Amino acid sequence: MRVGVKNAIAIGIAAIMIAFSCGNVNKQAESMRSLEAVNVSNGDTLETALARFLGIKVAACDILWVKQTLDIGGMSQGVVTPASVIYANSRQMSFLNPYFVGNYYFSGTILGMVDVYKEFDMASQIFQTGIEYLPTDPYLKNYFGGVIAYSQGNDAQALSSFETVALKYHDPTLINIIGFLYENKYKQTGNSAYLNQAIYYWKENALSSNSYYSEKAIEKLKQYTNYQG
Amino acid sequence: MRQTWAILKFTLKENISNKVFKGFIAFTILILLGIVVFKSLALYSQNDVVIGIGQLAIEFFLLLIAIFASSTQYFKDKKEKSIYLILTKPVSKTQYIWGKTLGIIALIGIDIIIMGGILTVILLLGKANLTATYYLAYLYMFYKLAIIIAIGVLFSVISDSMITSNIFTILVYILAYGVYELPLLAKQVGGGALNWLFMTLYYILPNYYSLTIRDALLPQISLHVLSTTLYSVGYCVIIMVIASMIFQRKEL
Repeated sequence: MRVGVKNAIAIGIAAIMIAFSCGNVNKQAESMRSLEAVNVSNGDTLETALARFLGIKVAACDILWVKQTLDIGGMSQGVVTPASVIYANSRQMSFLNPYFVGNYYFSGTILGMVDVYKEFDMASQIFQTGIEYLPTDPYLKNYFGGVIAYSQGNDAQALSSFETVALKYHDPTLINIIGFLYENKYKQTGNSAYLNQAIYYWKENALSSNSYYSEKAIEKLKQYTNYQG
Repeated sequence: MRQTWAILKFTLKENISNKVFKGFIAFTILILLGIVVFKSLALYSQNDVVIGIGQLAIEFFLLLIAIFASSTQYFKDKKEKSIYLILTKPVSKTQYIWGKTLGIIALIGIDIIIMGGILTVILLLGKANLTATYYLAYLYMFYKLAIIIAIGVLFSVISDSMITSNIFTILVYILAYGVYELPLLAKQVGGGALNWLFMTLYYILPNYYSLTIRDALLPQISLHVLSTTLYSVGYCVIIMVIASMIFQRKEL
């Protein structure tokens, strides 16, 4: 096949362009690949491996996140998703994107705090993975500390940890838990100061954009106050 | 140059008036609007969910258009006999290939601007904080699709049928993303022909991994936009020159 002068020049210039840029293109890829060196037990499934291979990690993690929210949200309809499913969703999300902090906050708190679960080992593993990949996150340790304290029956310590987070970060799941813990203390001691604290947090959740927690909070407010909405 | 430009404009108009193309675009826009539903279903990082799924949806549907348009254009022109009409005019085969390829690349560029614009408006209405990486992801998406269009045209010139041309183009797209896994595969298979094949593919396939910044786990990655541009343009030029050289020799 005759190459021809024009074609040879075009190929030569293009080859120089590629040779000149190849180093930086590889550096760019390396900076992305270095973030992917993930070691998450139970997260490596055929689906997650495929998602990584096809370059759809982030979108696959987002879809799993929506699934996780729906699975847990099913509780409001009386459908309780097994803890193993919530844990598996969380591990797969960590495998795909270990820097997604919402996964650790939500999945860990639900598994560690909600009555039907109370799976402290699973919650601990989730939080530990979170702290491993996001060691500087200001709230993860407080979430983890709160769940640990709660698992040991230390409600005061759990409340202290959770309130540290709630002061700066609006998390309807966590606010709901704080309200629940204060309500429990009120029921145990009869001290109305605890009820006032619970009401304070329920009022905050009543205004939340999350309809599930908003409805739960309004229900509680109607139970203890003459809340009109 | 004028002839190439004329073919480019004709290809652009022809594809825009194509019913399949219009259907794809309408479907993608519907999907983008549908993704807003996900926003209400996801806690904490609602806008991130819209960005992740939205950009993937845009790339996926435009990839289908790019592969379909590039690897069928030549066969379509041949079937409709319009290629004979064009080549009897003072238009060389090289100008035909360059005009067609650049026309499809321009089409995809316009699509990225429209769809990316829609997604960006949706996100800005949702008060999303958009980073430079978000906007650059569209530019990189364009580079990726431009390269696959050039490869699609090359395969359409080499292949005897639309099906094989489509299959080869899709295969290249998939392998090009996993380009860094190829040396590992070569190591696993030891020596021999497979080792040689994997290493050859590693050197000749485009580095799609580096171009997929929409899938980067954190926005703080080291980006080399100028080098990526040079790399993509260089790669497209080489493929197009090879395609036009093969097309020169091809009997219609």
